[in-house]
Amino acid sequence: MTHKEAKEILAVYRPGTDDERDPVFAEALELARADAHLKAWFEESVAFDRTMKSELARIMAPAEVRDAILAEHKIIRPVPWWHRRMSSRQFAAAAAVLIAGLAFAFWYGQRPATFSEFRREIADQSWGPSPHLQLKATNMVQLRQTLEARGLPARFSVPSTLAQSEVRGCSLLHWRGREVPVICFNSEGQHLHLMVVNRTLFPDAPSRIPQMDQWQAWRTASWSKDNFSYVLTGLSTPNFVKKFRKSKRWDWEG
Amino acid sequence: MPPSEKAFEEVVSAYYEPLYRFALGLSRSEADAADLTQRAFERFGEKAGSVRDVSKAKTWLFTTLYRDFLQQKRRATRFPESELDENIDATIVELPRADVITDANAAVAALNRLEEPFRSALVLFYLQEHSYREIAEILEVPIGTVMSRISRGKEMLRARIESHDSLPAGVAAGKGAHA
Repeated sequence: MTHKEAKEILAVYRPGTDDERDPVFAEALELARADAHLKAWFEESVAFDRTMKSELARIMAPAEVRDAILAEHKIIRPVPWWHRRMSSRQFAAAAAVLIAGLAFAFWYGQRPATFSEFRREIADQSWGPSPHLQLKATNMVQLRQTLEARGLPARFSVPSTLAQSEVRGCSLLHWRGREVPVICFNSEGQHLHLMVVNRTLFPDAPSRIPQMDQWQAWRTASWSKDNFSYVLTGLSTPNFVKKFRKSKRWDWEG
Repeated sequence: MPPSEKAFEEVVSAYYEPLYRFALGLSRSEADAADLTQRAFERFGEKAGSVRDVSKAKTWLFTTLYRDFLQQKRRATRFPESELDENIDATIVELPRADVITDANAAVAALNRLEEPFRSALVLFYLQEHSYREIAEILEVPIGTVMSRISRGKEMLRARIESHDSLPAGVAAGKGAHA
């Protein structure tokens, strides 16, 4: 083995790992022990790698992304019936379940909705055929006054990136017996809808970090701040997603 | 079948940090690294049934993230971002992150100057989370190619270090010795 070959092998050697037992390195290590010049080069190479490794290890991954990952996994996703396994006993019980079906349906209708359900239903509805601009407004002050006059939430915060966009107006959607204001923005040519709802309605409402979701063609970003939870939807464009993915630290207009 | 909540949390706890560092090394952007990491775990949460052995989660996550990165890169090449997109990005307030250490940024900056595919191989090498066989599996190349990329990548890294001053003290001190 030449010095050049030994250096090529030793360049990828990682002390303190399984490399120590790897026969690939044995001959090159032996040569480094016997040759003073190669030994010096090798020691410096190891020191260089140690420094690079420790510098890389000092990078702290953002805690909020980890929180978002864990929070997202906690959302309960219903398992489709065709994925569920049924034993013969369970199959026999199906008749009883069928009888109980009506009662279950009643309970299901009465149970509190999850934020995930709200997000999907409201995003879908906001692009539906209902009147688009029931309340016309050209700025947020005017819009808040109109909402307040109707007893609707008006003291919510809008991210400044959105507040700087053109306000077109607002419509009111009816969702499970509640009126939900939908504010319509025009941001850089993109048509966006912002839905505002009282945060206390949803124990599983997202945190301050925008949470991304897709429902049919619509991408949504949802988050909560102070007393309100928000759902923002727009056309399914990469620009939209990118903008709100990058907005983990967006500021607020107050 | 998705993993249990406890199993999922254990996997996130074990691999979140190294996976993010790998993503940052690949994408060279904090926002993109966060996206790549989040998507890898989302997919793991959805499709962990295909990961037969939970102990294989590590390689699965790194492989998935790397494939996602390559896919994004290909897409970016085929559909370059429009001027409008750049305008939108300009409206986003990017605050400096206090928890990202300047020196560590300098080390990453030196790695960032490397071209692919040397960068990905070298980041995995310095993370020391994987055997060479696993690195080869993640990058989908033979072990010999991995070693060659690391060796060549290190040479290039030293060359970059010799031509830049913005490096951590430890690295800068060692650069003369490698000249």
